[in-house]
Amino acid sequence: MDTLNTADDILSLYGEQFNSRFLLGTALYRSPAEMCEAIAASGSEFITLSLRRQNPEDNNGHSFWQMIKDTGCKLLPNTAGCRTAKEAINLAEMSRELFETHWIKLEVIGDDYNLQPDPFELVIAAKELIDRGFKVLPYCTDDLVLCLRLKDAGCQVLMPWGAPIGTGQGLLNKYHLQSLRDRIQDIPLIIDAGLGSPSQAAAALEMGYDAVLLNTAVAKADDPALMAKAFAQAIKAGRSGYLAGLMQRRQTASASTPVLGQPFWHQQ
Amino acid sequence: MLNIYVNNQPHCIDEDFSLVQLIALTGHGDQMIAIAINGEFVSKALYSSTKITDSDKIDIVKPIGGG
Repeated sequence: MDTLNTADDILSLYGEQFNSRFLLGTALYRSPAEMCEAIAASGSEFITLSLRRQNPEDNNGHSFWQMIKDTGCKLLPNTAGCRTAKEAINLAEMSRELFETHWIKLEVIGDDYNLQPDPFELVIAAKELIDRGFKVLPYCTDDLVLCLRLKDAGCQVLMPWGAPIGTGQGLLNKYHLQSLRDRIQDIPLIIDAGLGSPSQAAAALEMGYDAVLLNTAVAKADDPALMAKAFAQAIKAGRSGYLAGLMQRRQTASASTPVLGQPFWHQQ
Repeated sequence: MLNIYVNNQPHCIDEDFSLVQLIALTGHGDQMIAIAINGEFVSKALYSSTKITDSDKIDIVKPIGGG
C-alpha cells in the first residue's frame, strides 16, 4: 500500500526535491516504446541519458530526444565511457549545453574489465565540474576514502556501486557499503550499478541508502515495465523498513511467544 | 585543402572553412548536436567564428540512451 510510505519522505538532491527514490537508465531497451512504458511504470522522476557519435542520416537521436522530453522526467546526462578527467569535463560541458541542465552523472572509467571508476581522475573531474557550477553525482566505488575526497571536492551526492555495471550481482560488499553509510550521514548516498533484482534494491534502502540508480535489470527483463514496477515497490518497501527501524540481529534464538504460562511444563 | 577527421572519419575540405559550414556539409545542420574540437568543447555561440584547421579532430554527438 502506498499509504505505508510517509507522504513527506522526500529525497533531496542538491536542494531539489524528488518523490521517487528510483533513478532509471534509458539504454538497452528492445524498443523505444518499451523504454517509455518502463519509465512510466517506475514512477521515476530522474532518468539518465548520454551523448554519442551517430550517423547524421540516422536521425534516431532526434526521435529519442522527443520521447525523452515527453516523459516529463528530469534529465541526468552521464559521462559514460570517459577515461580521463579532461574527457569527462568536456563531455559534461557538451551535455550541459545540449540538455540545458547543470546536472551530471560523472563517470570516469579506469578499468575495461569491470568498468571500475578511476578514483584519481574522478576527484579531479568532480572538483573542476563543481567549480564550473555543475551538480555532480559521481559514480564511484565503495571506498570510504574516495567518497570522503569526493565530498571534500564539493559533491553533495555520492553514488557508490553495488557491483560492476551490468553484472546484476547486487550489493557485493555490504560491509563497506554499511561503513560508508554509517560514516557519511549528512549527504544522500545512491547505489548506482550492479543491481539485478528488486530484493537487492530493497536491501540497499533498508541499509539506509537514499535511492538507487539502475538500467540493465529493467531494460533486459522479459517485461521491462513489470520489472520497473517491481523495483519501485521494492524501493518503497526497503525505505519503509529503514524508517520503521530494523530489529537488532542476534546469534541465538529468542522465543517470540511468551514462555510464562507454558502448558505441560512442571518444576523438576 | 585541409585534412580533418569528423567522428573519426577522414574528410578533405577547403581552407577557410567555418564550423557552421562543416556542420552543414556533414548533414548535421538541423540536428540536436554538441561539438568538441581536438577534445575541447565548443559552445554553439562560437560555431560561426570557429575556423577549422588542418588535422583537426572533430566530434559531433547526439542524444542517446544511457545508464
